[in-house]
Amino acid sequence: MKRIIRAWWQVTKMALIGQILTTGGWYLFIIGKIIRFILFFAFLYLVVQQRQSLAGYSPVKVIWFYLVFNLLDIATQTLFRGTYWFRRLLIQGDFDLDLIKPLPSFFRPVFGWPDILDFVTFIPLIIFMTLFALFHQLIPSFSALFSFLFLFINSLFLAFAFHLMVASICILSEQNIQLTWIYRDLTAMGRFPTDIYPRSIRLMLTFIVPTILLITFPAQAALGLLPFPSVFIATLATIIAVMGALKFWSWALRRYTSASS
Amino acid sequence: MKRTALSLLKQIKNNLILGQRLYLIALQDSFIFRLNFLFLRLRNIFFLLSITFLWLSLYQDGSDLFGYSKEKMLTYIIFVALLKGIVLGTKTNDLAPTIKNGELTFRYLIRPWNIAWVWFCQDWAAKSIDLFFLLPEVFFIAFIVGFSIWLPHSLLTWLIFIILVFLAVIFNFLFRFIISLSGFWWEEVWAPNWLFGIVLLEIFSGVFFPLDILPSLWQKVIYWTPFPYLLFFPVKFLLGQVSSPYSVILILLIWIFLAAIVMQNLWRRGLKTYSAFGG
Repeated sequence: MKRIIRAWWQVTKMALIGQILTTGGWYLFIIGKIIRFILFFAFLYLVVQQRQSLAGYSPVKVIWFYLVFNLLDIATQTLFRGTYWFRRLLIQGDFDLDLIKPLPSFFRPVFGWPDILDFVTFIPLIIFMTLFALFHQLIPSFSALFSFLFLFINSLFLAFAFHLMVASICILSEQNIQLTWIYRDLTAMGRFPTDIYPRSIRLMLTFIVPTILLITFPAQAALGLLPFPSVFIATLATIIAVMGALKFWSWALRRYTSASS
Repeated sequence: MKRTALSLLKQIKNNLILGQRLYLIALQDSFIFRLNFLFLRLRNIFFLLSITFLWLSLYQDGSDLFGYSKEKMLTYIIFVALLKGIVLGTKTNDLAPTIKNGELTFRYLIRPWNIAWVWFCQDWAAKSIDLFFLLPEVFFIAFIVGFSIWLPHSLLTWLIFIILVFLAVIFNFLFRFIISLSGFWWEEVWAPNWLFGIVLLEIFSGVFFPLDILPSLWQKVIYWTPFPYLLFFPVKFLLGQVSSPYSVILILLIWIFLAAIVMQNLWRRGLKTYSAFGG
């Protein structure tokens, strides 16, 4: 574990150096992220303020869902960006070089390219969320805060499982599959409280890409609205998903054939 | 005189044949990775579902919101989704990497082609695919959600709407082309494309929500940019909420004129700085 963390820290430093070397784009990226965040924030606040509630949630609580979505989105983008580049590694045949390294085989495909640009917005968001929660007294108790933190980490593991599955599919298929974008679109449906969707869509958001487990549960837990059995269900689902993803990865890896010449 | 006219006609004919071939090739290119293509379609559906259900739950009590009835708001969403494919659909994103990796030389510069025309024809491939699939997708969602769409009856309204969309298509092409020309000077062409071609273009053109729900100062600032005239104003006009469409047409024409000048200048300057290495 220590070795993996050390390797991750090393690739993170390298990613940071790479992004500092080419400084041309980072400020446009950050500006874009801030504009999008502010305008969507304003939009949500304005529309829900008019009605005073959305699916039974007050405007402040609706914003809270949006903030939790952003927090998880940034965290997963920072950590698991490698999946987006994995196909290139495969078709160039360079994955062979990673397989001979004394690291887990999934390290490079999932953790290989941490996105530091995304991380830049992570800290300000946490500060803003803390102030927002304190100002509006959103988190009713320590147990709610603890449940939120626990489920947030749980969501990271669940997101890891999904990204690992995507990497496995990349090995199995020659198609340029944009499954990570499907994942992102489905999780983006969680930027609003998922209670606005009909039952059929909620089922899809629970079992296909578990947006409800990923975003809605942590957000509800912080507000003290999530019953304990749901925490248990989320944990169990994550354990099953991670184990399933690891098994699927091993199975896919056995079918891997090098593309190098 | 007759000879000049004939040669001009021949040139137009050649350009049309070239355009048709490029269009067909671009169409075929889009279907190389079919599974991926299917996933791209799914992305549109998820986005549309998310926005539709958000508004549906906001309209649960039945009263109007920001001056929009439920019917008009859903019509806005549906038409923006359709126009997004027609107006914002583009292939010009591929121009920047073509400049960066030097393919510009042997794919375009050594051929007797007008580069803008080449990319414009390829753009239409992206647009027609989007439209072909968006129509059933949008009406499928309208059907499962079960809402009716508000449509104007006047033929003139539709005619002006088509003119607005056509001008928006031209402006979008010029604008995206200009962004891609940054490939002449910048290593990281994804950054301007992401900020201007995705974030600003989509939000300020009204893809996510009608811009007139924002505070009036914000609206005034946004209306000074060309983006609202691409989707927001054409759809607002269709909903009968724009009293003077001719001013929108005039503003679009001015933006097109300015963009064409900037594009030509940047292209000329870019070619002067451009260098590619063979191998």
